[in-house]
Amino acid sequence: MLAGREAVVARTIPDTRSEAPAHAPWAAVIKFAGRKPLGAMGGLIVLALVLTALLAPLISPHDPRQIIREANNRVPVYVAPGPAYLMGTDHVGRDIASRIIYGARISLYVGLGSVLIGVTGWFLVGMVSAYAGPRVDLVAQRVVDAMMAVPGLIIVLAIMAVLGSSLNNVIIAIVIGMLAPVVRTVRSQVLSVKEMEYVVAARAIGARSARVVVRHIMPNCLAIYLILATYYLGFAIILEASLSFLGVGVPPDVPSWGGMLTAAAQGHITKAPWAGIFPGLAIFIVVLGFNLLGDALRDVLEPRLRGARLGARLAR
Amino acid sequence: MGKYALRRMVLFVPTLLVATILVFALFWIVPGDPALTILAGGEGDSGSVSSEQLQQLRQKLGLDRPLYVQYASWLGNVLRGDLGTSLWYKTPVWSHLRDRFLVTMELAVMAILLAVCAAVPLGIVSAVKQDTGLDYLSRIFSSIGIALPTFWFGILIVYALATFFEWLPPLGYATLWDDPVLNLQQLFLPALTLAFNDLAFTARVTRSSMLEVMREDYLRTARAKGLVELAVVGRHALKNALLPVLTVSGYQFARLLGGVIIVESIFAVPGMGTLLIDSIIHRDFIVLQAIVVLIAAVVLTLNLLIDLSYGVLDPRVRYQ
Amino acid sequence: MRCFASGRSRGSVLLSSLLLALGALTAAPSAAQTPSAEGQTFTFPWPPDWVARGKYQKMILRGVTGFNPGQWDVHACGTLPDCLMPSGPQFNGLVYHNPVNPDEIVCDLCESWTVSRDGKTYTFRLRQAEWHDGKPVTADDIKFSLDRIVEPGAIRVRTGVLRTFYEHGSAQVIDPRTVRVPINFASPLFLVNLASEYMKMYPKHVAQGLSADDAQKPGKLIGSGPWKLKEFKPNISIEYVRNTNYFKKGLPFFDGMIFTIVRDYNRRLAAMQVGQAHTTEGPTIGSYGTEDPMRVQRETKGRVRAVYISEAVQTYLVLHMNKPPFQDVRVRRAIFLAVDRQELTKIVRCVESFGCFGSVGTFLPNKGGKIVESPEDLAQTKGWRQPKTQDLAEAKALLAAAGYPNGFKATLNIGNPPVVVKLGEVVAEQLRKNLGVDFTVEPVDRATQVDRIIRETHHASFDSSGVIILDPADYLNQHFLVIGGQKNPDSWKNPRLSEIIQAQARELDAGKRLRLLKEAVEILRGGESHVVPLSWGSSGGMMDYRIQNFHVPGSEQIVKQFEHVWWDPDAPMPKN
Repeated sequence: MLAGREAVVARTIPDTRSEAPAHAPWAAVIKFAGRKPLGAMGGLIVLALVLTALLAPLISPHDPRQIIREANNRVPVYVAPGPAYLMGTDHVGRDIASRIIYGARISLYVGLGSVLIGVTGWFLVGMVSAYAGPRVDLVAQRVVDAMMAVPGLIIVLAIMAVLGSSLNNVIIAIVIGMLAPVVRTVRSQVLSVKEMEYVVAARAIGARSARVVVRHIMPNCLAIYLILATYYLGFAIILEASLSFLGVGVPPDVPSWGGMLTAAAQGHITKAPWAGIFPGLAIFIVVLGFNLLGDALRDVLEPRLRGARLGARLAR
Repeated sequence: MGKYALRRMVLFVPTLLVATILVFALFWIVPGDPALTILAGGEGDSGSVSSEQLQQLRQKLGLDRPLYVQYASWLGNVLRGDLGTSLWYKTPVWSHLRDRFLVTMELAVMAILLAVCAAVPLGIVSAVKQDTGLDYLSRIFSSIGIALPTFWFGILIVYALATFFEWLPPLGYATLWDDPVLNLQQLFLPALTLAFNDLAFTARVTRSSMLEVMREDYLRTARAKGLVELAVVGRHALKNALLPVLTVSGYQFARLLGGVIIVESIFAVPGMGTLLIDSIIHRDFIVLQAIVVLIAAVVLTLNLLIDLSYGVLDPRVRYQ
Repeated sequence: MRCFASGRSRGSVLLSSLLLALGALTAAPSAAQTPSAEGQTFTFPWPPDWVARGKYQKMILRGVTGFNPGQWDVHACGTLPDCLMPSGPQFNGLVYHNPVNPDEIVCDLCESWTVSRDGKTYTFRLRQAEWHDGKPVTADDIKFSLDRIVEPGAIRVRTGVLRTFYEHGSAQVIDPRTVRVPINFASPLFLVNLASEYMKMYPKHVAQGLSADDAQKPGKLIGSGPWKLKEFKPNISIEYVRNTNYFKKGLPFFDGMIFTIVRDYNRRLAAMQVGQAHTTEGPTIGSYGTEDPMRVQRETKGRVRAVYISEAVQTYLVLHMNKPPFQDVRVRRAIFLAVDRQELTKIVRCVESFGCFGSVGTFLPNKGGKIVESPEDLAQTKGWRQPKTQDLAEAKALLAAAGYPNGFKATLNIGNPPVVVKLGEVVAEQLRKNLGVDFTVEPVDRATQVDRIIRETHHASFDSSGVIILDPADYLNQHFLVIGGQKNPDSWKNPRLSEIIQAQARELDAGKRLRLLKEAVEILRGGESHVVPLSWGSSGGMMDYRIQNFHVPGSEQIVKQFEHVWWDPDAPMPKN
């Protein structure tokens, strides 16, 4: 399951109708929205997520970690959605709406954390592997192949067992889980860009290596980076949920959507469906948003790769 | 091409070695060991196991030896064709792996077939009706699978069936050749769950591949000749567009072998996934190692076959 | 005598002679008080009257289990579900808990036993029984089995307790059907330990040729029991066939049993709900100790019957004393006082419109018809009494005196079953709110959890103890007799408590023994040890309503045979 995003970019031939974005930022956004309504929808979802996360303390009706005590110290366990609790309460009597709102922070934290560390770090490793010469590449690719061939879940489970459950450890586990697919994707992208006609031509007319990297390869890679980052934001949220399901996710009092979903799945889906439906919906909408945005970004940002043959890139 | 294949196959060996060392090292640093899982008892069932008893069993199982000695002895056995004896079951690992492997393979093949059967039409519709409502609908539909955690999707299916239809796939397991009907009943839903998860990816590849092919010169020629759109799509575009779909499905297959873990345990399928979870719970790293070696070998072979198939299917590809 | 007064008693269905014998047995200590010259003899003729009522329907009992067993040598079992549960049905004990009145101990392979006047020698007369290979069960086999149970140097986690009573090699074969077993000291606990399901009898001619490893493989050991193992398919099923030659004539009532192995808890619930299985492994450990079985019962309109053992498992907090702050007894005591057990139990164990599936409970389990602590008594006790204000004030003062007036941060190592995680969440929230003690809850899988307890990597851990032997002293033995290891990682000791543990095992006077146990509870209520009891949970399970004659035992560790239950297709569906 970790290999899911493996080479999303590398194996996908871009939608060639799109051209490079216009210069004025607002005009670009409007143009983007007109051309890619699904992408714009994804963008809106992501924007809503960011706003929810930022405004959480203002809009959340309760403390997400606090068990609610009503009159007579009564604890409202599994109360259905209603005026008192918009999305109902959970298995120990906490307000689900508040947990969903604060969960946006957790999701964003996990997603951004793992993407900033993971995609960036492994991106550089992938580039180094493609550039540092055959020996380094050979060794790096054996490690990547090995990680690729081992079911990612084993590695992640082991890491969590060693480190213990905490939010940051979940990020570490996701980052390590990203290693193989990201390195591989980036490496094959760089290799294919390296051999494109214009790069070869630039070299042929005597351009220095550094200049080639800065002028020709970097812009391409930036596009790949953005696309990978968008997809992996969604992927990290799904993986966080799966880790919770396997019992090695974030600590249970942390209001993560994955943790809420797991608690609901292990509790009463028939008796208290709201405990599972709302976090499930939140995950669904946000991951869908990231994916739609990623699709659109890929279409828009990757036009120059159109000539690269899928097969040629894979056969290395 | 022969030389290329040979070189790739030689590289299998270090890759497999790295994978096994990785898993061995991981399980060395993971807390808990087989002695604990055998003696300590579960939640609510723990007896009062003393440290001496644990030490005694560790010694008996050979867990007190240094890590490199354990690894070397394991590797020596494997080279002699012996995958070892399960620390939990105390029976040969191969006897457990053999049957499980077939179950998982069947599940993965079914899932891939289902995914391709659904994704290709969706992708084609998306491409032909690009940027229309139909395109968006089909893309959103195919994205549902990746936007929902697999476990949640599986659990929802089980609950819906049990609650609304009072029916569930039969318990136990029958092989395809013993009882095909029972077998399909048991594997269909997990395969569907897995397929749904893969749908988005395959549909996306189909779509963009179709889009690209449809703009190529020979198709423009075909259109110019006045061939109606359906015939263009059916006869000319599809044939060429499906090559990447085929190869992507090959990669997806490898990925599925890892993804079955959660689905198998939710649907009680006795495949490699459940065996893997078991061996992690029991800290039976001898079984775990064997699973890793087997999966890794399958994945590596599959990757090689896919790469080689390019040469056969697409003459423009050269091997370096 | 209490057994016959209790609601659970099925005295009316027993033969009158059996009744008398059982009555005398329950009062074993008092029986020993008034010894006759030869000692007292207890006889158990076969069959009891319920055997005639058991309708034999030709069918296979279908069950679901969540466990994938790996150990089959009952003497060497470390766990119930991975060892005893699958293997046990093949064997008999010498004595066992009466399946229709589980608080009482009756003969299994024996026909009668005699206790000598000094209470130090038991003589067992055997029934005529055969092993699964047709060879007769002899006194020699019994002596061999007892010796194997206490075998020096062998790993005996669950059966090692017999070493306290029985010396290896000391049993004497009087004749092929009589064996005399001397014990080290007269004790009210010998029989109840011998009746443990783990003390199975093996055929000497089979078992002595098996290595310890081979004995752990399925089907290598055979017994005399109601079921023969037909096939174990790992991760798929465990299948048994009826022992047609079983010495308890008429038993078992089913043709065979198939337990399908289903790892996922929700899938097991669903299997019961749609009728794919007739039963779980009886009321047992796992997650069934919640309202889930009851919910399935309602949803199936009573076709599935929920069965519960109340107060089967105590969840407690282990405070690790190897590092600050819990090496300070004041901090341990503060935590002990500050946990609001009533609220915890209400939030975690009670469900609206279903009721409670667990209780605040007592320190020691009130099992085997012995009540050490009463609920009234407990309501006055520090740490348990309500409202909490008084105890909280004391706890805060203790923390302040220890140098933590504003609390501290700490890590909590707990398991990952849903109920446990829920308990952990609530306890952490209570301590955060009440004392400012901020626990980070880290749920992990079982092997990691136990490893962390033993190596004391965290500040505190959750663990739970089930009742293995039906006696309040079981709890003391588990936590304070074995020093070091999982249940007492800090080797915490209290000299008086150690004395009491020894003394109560030798105290034949029931009243005096009860006073000793009460004194032990008083010591523990001081809150100085590593154990902070939190809440008792139920064990649960589900059975089709047509399964008859199942009587809920006091512990999930006993009555695991399915030899006495039958299927009545015409049974009236119970009103829900």
